[in-house]
Amino acid sequence: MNNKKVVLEIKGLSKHFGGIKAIDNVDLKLYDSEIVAIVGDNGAGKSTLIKMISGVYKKDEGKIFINNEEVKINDPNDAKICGIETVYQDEGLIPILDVASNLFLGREKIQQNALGKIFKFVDVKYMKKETIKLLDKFRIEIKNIDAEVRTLSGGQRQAVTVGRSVYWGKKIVILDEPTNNLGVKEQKKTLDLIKQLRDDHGMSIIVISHNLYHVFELVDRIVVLRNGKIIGEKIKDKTTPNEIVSMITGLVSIQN
Amino acid sequence: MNYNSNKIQSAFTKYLLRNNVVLLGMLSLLIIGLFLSTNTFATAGAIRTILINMTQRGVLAIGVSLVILTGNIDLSVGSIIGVSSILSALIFSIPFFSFNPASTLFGIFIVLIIGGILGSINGLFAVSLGINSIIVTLATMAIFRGLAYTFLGGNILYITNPFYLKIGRTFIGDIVPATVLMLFILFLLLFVFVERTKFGRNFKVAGANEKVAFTFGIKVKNIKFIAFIISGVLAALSGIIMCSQIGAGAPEYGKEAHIDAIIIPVIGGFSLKGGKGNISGLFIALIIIEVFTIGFVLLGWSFFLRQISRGVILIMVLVFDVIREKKLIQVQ
Repeated sequence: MNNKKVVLEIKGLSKHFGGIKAIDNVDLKLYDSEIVAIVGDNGAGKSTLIKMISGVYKKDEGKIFINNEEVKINDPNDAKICGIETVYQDEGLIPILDVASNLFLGREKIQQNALGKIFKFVDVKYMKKETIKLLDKFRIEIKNIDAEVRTLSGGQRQAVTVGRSVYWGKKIVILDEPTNNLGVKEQKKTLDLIKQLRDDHGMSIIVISHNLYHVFELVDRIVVLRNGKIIGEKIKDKTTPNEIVSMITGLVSIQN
Repeated sequence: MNYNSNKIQSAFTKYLLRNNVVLLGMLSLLIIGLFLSTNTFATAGAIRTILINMTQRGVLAIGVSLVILTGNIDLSVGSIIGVSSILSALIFSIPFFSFNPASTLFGIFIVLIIGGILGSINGLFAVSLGINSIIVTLATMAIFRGLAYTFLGGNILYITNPFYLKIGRTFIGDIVPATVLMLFILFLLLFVFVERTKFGRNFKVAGANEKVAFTFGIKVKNIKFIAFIISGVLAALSGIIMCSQIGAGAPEYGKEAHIDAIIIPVIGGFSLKGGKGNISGLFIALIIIEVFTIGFVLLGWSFFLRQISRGVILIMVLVFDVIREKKLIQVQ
């Protein structure tokens, strides 16, 4: 692990909300082609931490490095430019738009003709074609791709958001509770999709999850957050769910 | 894997039919009902009146529908009509502005810009400062109306600029006002903007879910602000058309205009929560309100009966909308 390339590194990251320190001096490394889980109890700061990496929150202190170069991430666009794609807990889809519109949200393809150049007309045909290609590639079954996404099942919607991060993701993908609200079959599909990201596309992935069963099935390394601080890091093969639980709840605190 | 992707609609009518079955049904019922109830309905005079009123109401409705699409509301449009109408009368009483078509156009631009400025006042308070737009535009409704009265008191001022008057009084074949063409073009522009341009499509997104929109780099505040500006400009345009037809400007014009301006988008499928609405529905809703307004006058219904009927239509459409939403949720 230690001679692998470091794709993302955060040093001394902190965030306060009023008088509360939500994230306190956090260091974290993300290596090439690996899946890391960030686990912790409610209020530990998991979502806050990744929101700083994905640009939704501005960090108060600390530095972020991509491929060993420092980057400034002040808003979601900066993060995307750095190659970081994020799938949030509350879906991040616009319910009344179709799959293609959601896939290309904020990044619509402009037509190559005069209409496009002057008026910024979007290329609906292209976006639809790309959507079909993506769904086929990941064997995501959606009968009517023109339908509004709110008519899709939870699993299909999740597949769309994960698929979106695949389509746009260049290097780093962050997933916040990707298996919440899914049925068993759909959970398995999502986990497979995430593994494909690492295995077939060489991406580095951070997953936040409450579900330790999924965590142990999916990840290479587990980072435990408590009260805004990292209190331990374990390689999956060298730890057990019980140990992780005790770290989360604070019965044991291990620096490794 | 089979994808039931809808074929690209080459016929605009197919699109119209598919999306607006309920509205078209209502319109048909209204027309048939009126046709059978009175012999004054299917006359050139009635149709002419519908077309005359349609532009002024339609232009207003387009502006307000954009504000509604972005999740806000604009109650001050009627007052902006008042300001623009007295302002028009004042400007065109200056000989310079009545000199030729070009200077008339210049005068019109000034009024439109004032409309935009009033709209941006709404934007400042409702978007930049984040105050609820109902409250903001309720206040500006009163303020702008008061502003309209400050120019000449409550007096009406006649407009004699021949080029200006031509706007509202040019007819094609004696029945169709030239302004209807302008309305068609505006609708087309709106449709193309909201459905096909990168920036326009974001209006729906900004209204549907601000947080998600922000996450995808969409400048939500800019969009909402611009919607208010457009609403102000179109309200001023509506006032200009009205005054051109009447031949005078007065500060009390447009007193109840905001009611129709909101009913039409809602009937047309725009959700007051924002993020939802289709332009073809807006157009049909406009025709429904026009037919309704003239039809029941021709039927001799009292003012109160007409008011009640208007409310009944609104409720019926909202109920259909809720039922349709519920059905969709059950599909999952």
